[in-house]
Amino acid sequence: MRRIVFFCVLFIITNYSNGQTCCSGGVPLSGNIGLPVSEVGSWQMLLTYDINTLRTLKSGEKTLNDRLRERKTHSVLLETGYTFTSKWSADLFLSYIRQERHIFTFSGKQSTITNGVGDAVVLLKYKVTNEGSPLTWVIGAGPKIPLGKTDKTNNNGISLSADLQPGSGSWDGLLWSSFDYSLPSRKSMTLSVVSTWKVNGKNNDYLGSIVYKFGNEYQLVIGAADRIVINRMIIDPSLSLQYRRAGRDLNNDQEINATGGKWLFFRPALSLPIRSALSINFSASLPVYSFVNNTQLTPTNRFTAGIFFKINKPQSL
Amino acid sequence: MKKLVVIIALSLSTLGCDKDDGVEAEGNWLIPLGAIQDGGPGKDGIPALENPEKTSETNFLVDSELVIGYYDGNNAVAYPHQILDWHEIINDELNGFPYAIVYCPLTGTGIGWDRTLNGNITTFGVSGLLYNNNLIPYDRGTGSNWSQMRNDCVNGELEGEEVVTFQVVETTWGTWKSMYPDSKVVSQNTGFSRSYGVYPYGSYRTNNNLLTFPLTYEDNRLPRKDRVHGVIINRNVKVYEFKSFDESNKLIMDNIAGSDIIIVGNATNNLIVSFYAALPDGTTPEFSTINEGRAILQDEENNKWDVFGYAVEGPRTGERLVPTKSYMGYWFAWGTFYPSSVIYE
Repeated sequence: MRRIVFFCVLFIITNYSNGQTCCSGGVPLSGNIGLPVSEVGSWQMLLTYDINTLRTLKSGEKTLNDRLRERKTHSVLLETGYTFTSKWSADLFLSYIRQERHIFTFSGKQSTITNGVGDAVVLLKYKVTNEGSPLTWVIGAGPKIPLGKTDKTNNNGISLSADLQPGSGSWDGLLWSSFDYSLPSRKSMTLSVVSTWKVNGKNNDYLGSIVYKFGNEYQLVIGAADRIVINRMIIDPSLSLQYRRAGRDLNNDQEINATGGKWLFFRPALSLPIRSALSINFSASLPVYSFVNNTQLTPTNRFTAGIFFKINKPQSL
Repeated sequence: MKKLVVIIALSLSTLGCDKDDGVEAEGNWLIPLGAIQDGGPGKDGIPALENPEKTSETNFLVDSELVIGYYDGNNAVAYPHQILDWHEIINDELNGFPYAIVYCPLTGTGIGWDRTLNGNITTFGVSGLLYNNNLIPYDRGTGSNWSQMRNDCVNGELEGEEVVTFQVVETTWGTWKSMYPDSKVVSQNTGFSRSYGVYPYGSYRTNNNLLTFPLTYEDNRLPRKDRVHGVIINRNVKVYEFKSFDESNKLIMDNIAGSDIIIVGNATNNLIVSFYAALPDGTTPEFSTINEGRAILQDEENNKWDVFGYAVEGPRTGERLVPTKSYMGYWFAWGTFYPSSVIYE
């Protein structure tokens, strides 16, 4: 078992370090947040490596034939949760971000890379439904805390743009809701609907005198998961559709034209339970449809790999 | 479990290496480093064009949109803003003259630059950096960075060198084609897939509240996005607003830093040009305006002069007025780069 954990972590590290051939925008906080409901007194931990690549240039719905620029965001995301009572639990979400910008020109590839601690989220969750119900509905709310730097400069001390910063510089508010429904006819199969609404605050000190606000964001993920056994190996596959909508960023309260849009992603995922309290997860996120305001680089693909483990409250004898 | 924590901690501690080989910006800068910003797209992320295709098929242009026109006495070429908004720099050549049209959409400034630097022909690219919202081009020969509105090299091997500028005329396509009906136009077939004809910056052109980056100094005497014609003579700047001109060509005679100049403008035609009042031979004609296509001035010798200062009729046909160092741009940019700018009243 230790070997499996070791190699999973090694896989994460290797990809991260070699990430220079790989970009994106934004810290993928709201796309990953929300640990499952667990037993009272249990700790849960999810360590995820997330790589979001943007190299598709779009104008509205139209894909432009251009491969000049690429943005990648590599994230190491650590989410830990504790269940206080049968109703209340809380998650803490920490991130470490690597932003990469690559330009492919006739003279070769030119890269700008920043690293740093990203923003954090605290999510207080309340389970609305009662034990025994096939439906589990949990709601949550919390702040996104601006731990990440927003004043990163290049080697020469020149300020880098907002999307290359590991942090957003603003206190944001998150509202989160998760429905899980276990089919009575097939207990192992779960249908889920998760929605996240992020209302962004303002960074009042961007480049010294600009008030910058990233556009508010809404996400809806509808999916189905099941458990299957192949050659005595338990596998939890899932398929989901993710809808994401982001408003335009504001610069001193003025809309920035080429920001915001709507996206629909197809997300296949696989979870491999190693033990009852330990699993490794893999997922992909592939765009099905997107509409961007004006012309923007937009997500081309996104992959995650994660390790989940849980520490249950010791049973008293 | 302990091993896992150690491995995670080690991995995070070894990942914190920032890197930037995208901008050659080492060494001294002649402009304040703190006022330089990375615009976002990166070096060459906005691709300059090289000798782009020209066309006579101009259906993609509407009369009211702006172009930057160049005329060498024989041939005319129009560089539409709708192309320049996406590429900012067009490296070109006409009858053996290597030049670049260097355009910054954020300051609204389009200038003609000679591509010969210290005897070497080069091309310019977009560094991805901005100074006071203004484009910083770099030359591909030495990698030096230049300030567009200052027209000098601000970083690198050629630091302190000035670029040689030449006259271009910014006006509407309608006005340009009426003056140069045989003009070629840079086509939308640039080799890049872009939404030409869609302005990429939303309301930026007219929204006086919208600036992309902070300014080191701001002069609020005029609205930020007022397009003005600025004339630079020995670092002295005077700007001319369209409101100073009429619906037909109007001549203003003025003096900047001891030099007599003439400014001809037409608010309806969206046109302002300026020249030194004296000819290269020292003669100072008595000018008056005419409205005969591209001919906008005549003098007491019955010479007619066009918008590029060429005598197109009369005994001095072929001679040329000396253009001022001048270009169009948003007022806020003039006020920031040249804080002692005088506004013509």
